[in-house]
Amino acid sequence: MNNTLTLSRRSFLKVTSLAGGGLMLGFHATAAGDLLTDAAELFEPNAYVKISAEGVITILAPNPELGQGVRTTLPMIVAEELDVDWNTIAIEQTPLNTKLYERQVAGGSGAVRSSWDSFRKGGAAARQMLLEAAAKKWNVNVSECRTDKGFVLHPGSGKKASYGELASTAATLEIPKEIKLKDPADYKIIGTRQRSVDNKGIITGKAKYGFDIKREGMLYAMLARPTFGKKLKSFDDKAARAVIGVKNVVQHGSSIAVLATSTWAAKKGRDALKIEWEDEAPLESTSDYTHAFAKMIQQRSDAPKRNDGDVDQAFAGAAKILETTFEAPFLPHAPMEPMCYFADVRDDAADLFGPSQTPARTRSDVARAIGLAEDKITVGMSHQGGGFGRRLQADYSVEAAMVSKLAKAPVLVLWTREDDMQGGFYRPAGLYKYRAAISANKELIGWHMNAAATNTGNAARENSFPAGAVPNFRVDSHNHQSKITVGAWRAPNHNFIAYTEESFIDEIAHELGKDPVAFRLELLERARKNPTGSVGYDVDKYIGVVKLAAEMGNWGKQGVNGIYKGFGAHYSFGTYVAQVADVSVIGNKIKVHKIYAAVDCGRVINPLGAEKQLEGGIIDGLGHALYGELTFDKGVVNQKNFNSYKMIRIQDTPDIEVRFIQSDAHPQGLGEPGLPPTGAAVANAIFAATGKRLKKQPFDLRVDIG
Amino acid sequence: MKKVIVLICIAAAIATLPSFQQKQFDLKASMKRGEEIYISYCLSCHMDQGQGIEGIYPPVAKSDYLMADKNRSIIQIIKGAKGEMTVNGKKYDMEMPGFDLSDEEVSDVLNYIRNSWGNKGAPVTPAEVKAVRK
Amino acid sequence: MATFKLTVNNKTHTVDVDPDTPLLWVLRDNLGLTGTKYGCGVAQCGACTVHLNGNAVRSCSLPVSAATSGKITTIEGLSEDGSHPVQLAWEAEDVPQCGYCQSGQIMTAAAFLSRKPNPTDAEIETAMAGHICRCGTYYRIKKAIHLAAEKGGKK
Repeated sequence: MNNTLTLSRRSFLKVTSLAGGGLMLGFHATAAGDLLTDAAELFEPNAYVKISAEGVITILAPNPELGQGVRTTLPMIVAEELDVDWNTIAIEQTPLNTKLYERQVAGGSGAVRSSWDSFRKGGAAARQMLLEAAAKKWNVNVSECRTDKGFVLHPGSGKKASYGELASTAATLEIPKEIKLKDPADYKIIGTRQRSVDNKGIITGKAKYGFDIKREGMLYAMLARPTFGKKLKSFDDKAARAVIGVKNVVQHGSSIAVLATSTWAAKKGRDALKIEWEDEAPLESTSDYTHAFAKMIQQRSDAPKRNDGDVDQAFAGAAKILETTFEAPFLPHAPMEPMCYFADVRDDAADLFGPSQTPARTRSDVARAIGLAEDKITVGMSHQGGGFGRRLQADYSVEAAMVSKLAKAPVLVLWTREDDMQGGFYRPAGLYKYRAAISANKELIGWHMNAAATNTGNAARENSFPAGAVPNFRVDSHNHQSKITVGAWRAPNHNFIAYTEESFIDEIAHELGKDPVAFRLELLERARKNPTGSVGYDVDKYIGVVKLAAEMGNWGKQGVNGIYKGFGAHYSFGTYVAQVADVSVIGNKIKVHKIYAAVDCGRVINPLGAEKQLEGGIIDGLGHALYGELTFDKGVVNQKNFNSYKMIRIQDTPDIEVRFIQSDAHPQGLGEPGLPPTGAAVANAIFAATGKRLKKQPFDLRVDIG
Repeated sequence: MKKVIVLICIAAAIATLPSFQQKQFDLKASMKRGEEIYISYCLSCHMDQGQGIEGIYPPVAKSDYLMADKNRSIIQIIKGAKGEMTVNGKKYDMEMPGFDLSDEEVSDVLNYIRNSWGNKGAPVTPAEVKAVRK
Repeated sequence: MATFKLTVNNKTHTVDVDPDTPLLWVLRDNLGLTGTKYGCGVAQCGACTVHLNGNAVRSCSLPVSAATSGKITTIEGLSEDGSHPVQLAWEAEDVPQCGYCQSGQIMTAAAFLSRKPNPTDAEIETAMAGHICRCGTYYRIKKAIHLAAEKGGKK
């Protein structure tokens, strides 16, 4: 951890000057929702805590928030060790500062699991200094003092002082070298249900998102961009420049930006551009890549991702072989707030502001593009209308910076929904073939996965269960190169592979005449007692969630009142999740009534926030399994907006019950792990109800796939 | 002779097919499916009773414009609607997007709209949608 | 360009804009009321929902010229301090995740409850089906609307 004692007002002044420029969030709120104004800081022992002259205790929230709750969860950890009343502290979003913070990233479900120690130490160090300040002031031994909800007490003398009163003394002390953390048995905030600190700003419309940025002299910009496989040949901007409010038109690579004094003028101007595009690569349609995948999975890769035992021998000696192929479509991230970014690039410095899951990458990519050193660039973070992986890219921020540089003006680049759908870094499309070898005595002896997907180094997740439980196990992966850009999409690879693996396990269980849950437990026991190769998951934790979900979902009773049950489990981002889906099918209509989820994510910091992440992940997994599909016609997306791209809505939302396994283990990820098992649980329930195996997402019972 | 009779029988069967299909078309089931589509895609503008908002979003309940032309409605759902229109004597000029719905879904949502809130219209079949789409 | 008089949150504003500008952009760019959001521009997601004479309408596809005759209420005007029963229920049920769609959801829920103070689950689903929440907060939205109804969503 990087501890710096800041006595000067320098960093505070930097913050207020930004606020004056209209770039900081307009307010901070206490956890209870009270709005506070900025105040001078007295005590700022490190990058996590500051205490003002007025006694306001502020906890700094350095990570990008996009709905996963880190602006609540991470400060809860600091507040616990600082020992304050959660309802009175203020939360403040920090700008990017790679010197102070180790990981300002929203990705890989990693905020809490990677920063658990540093956030605890940040709070504990400040508390220790406040204790010492009191001891010094009262001339008593520090070991005789204790803290309670923002106060230091000396029980012997009955003396009591608030942290605010002690702040100026604490600021003169050395940062402690040894930091003592609380005994978890004494936790008062960690493990309690806390609502999001952002609620008040959101429900009143005051929270400022990327689209809401406004700054003196700023122009709104919209761009015309080439579709996949095209590049700019020529353009005529006469009509665009004639639109009232349009101030400038600049070309950046193959894209053309129209800058105007209002959003509507920018859009009208952009739409008035006359552009000629030309082909720079073969134009791809959905049938092109699906055919390419089909060819690829007939072959083996030169270097299998995993190769335990001898699959050839296993399949040659098998009494029965099962084979199934699953098809994944491209998916756009489609966050509710389309891409947008603010940039003010000047000759000697640049200010960037807006939504990003990785502000550090934004800064380095922008620095390279505009030719400025990174330390000349500030990066601020706004609220973000979702991300789901899309904002791990820096294409849109680099583009905004380039437009600002070319136009020599501060600009807010806004994407329409149509721009966002066409300009994506999608969940890759892919094809996944599975084969299982069953021995004469009804044992699963061989497993072969052969995967192909678009633009991914690895189309598979080779160490997922049942790897380790099958003596002969091989995973092949192929990459289909395409002009269509892809990227991380909530629970990358896991988001589809969990459905394929868990559907195939269900199919094998039925073939063997075994109960699907009992079959999983049997395989897990095998991974424990007689593992093959490395086992990339903790067998006990896995068994724990499988058993709990089965119990929660009354596993075993099929068809009661027309309700059929399906099971799915998956381990990702350090967290184990098992789910049971209650489904009924009438005609071709799939109705999901309830999802039961059992979760082991180690220690739960905020059970309410954790539940919400599971609920959101489940609905995300369900919605895309039922509806999500992006197709291409010669490099152009067919689904351009929500009138043609179908998303899950309130009437399809099932009841959801989530339970967490009690654990004192290191906290793990939660933003992503809820999603992967849902598609499998629902598909397996549909099989129970209809006898049909759905092998393609989105699910469609009208397609007869046997 | 035998051949001729067989041919006549087939011809008769073909001739009766459309009316047979018509009878088989389950309007109620189609409307029920259509209602679900309506509430997701249409209700926010055309409102829960199809009343629209006067001067902004035209009504689809008791709408002379809607009921006058079945094929026009099919095209508008598939391709969207743009430009001025007069509905029940009032002018409207808003844009509606087209919807990526299957033939059955277009027929379902139209059957719901054309047979709710006092509307009564002949069923729209998926085959008709398919024919118009071409 | 043309001049339009708008009544927004009980205040009268005069704006000089292109007549075909959707109300959404006038609220956001000209009046600084950025609580109303852009999500799709084609009335399919609900993020831009405001009240026009008490009706929940989609400001993204409502030209400013069509909005001059009525009273417009945005999320900023639903209550001064977030104390509308629907807002309080949203907070109590901890509905928001990213929060971007929520002002629109709240505006529709408020207009709906003023007409139907004690809705069933099915009625809530029908009223809210025009809204998309990418974070999947639907489950809590349903609970919050029931809670607001109990506490008197009509206000």
